[in-house]
Amino acid sequence: MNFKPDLMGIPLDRRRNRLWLVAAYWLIVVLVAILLMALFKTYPSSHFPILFVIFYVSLLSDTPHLSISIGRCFYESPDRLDKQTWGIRTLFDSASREENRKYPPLDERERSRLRNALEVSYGIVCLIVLLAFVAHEFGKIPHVAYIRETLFWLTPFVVFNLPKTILIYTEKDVEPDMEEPQ
Amino acid sequence: MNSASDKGPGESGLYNRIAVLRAERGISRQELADAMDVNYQTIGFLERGDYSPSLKLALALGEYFGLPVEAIFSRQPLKPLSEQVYGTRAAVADTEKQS
Repeated sequence: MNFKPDLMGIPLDRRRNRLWLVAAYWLIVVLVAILLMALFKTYPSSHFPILFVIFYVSLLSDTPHLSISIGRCFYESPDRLDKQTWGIRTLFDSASREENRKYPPLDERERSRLRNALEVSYGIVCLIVLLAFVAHEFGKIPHVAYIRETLFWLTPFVVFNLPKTILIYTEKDVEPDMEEPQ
Repeated sequence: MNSASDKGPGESGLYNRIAVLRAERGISRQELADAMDVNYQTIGFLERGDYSPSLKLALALGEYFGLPVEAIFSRQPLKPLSEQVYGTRAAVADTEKQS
């Protein structure tokens, strides 16, 4: 049996499908952040703190949960009766104490992939900070303050979730020969 | 069954015989992964040549199969094991003539 991971019917065994998922996820996060920031600037009333708290708390609770769910969906397939697993694990999945550990520690390939994802994420975050700094210094972009503040509030989500989404996207396609040779 | 040596070295630039050796011994990927203390996917990536193992893992594989590392991994395309062990008919005939 060849394992075909999916999330709510979306096949995730191909990187192309996972790209849509990851892109849609980040697009929604960024759009909501921009919308809320624009609302705050337009109507600096008492509504904003409530909206902001809802946005922030829901992102804090749901965003990691969503990305972890995608990772877990990859990692644990209910179709596989032999409990064989295929998927993506992060340090968070393996960092718990031995007696509570759900998964074995990361092996050398997984550690190298995670290291690569963290390096790419670091580069992207540095680029965002640099762009915000340049935009601020030169003031060529109108409403620089909005952009800067949006980036500021988005940074925690980016820092926490970018490595995971990079891992999800960069995991290779499931090869047909993942089956045991006969 | 395809091995990395049949398909090319993959991303790692290394050819290997892990799939052949595993099939010869009737070992599943999971069993080999357990013995090597890695995820079973890592064995698949190694077999396809998509991952270069660390020296530690390469040596551990050599110890497990009872073979030198260079018999398992190579930067050059690997000959079929049977050919390497017994040689081709022409080579055998040459050897016999010489002896």
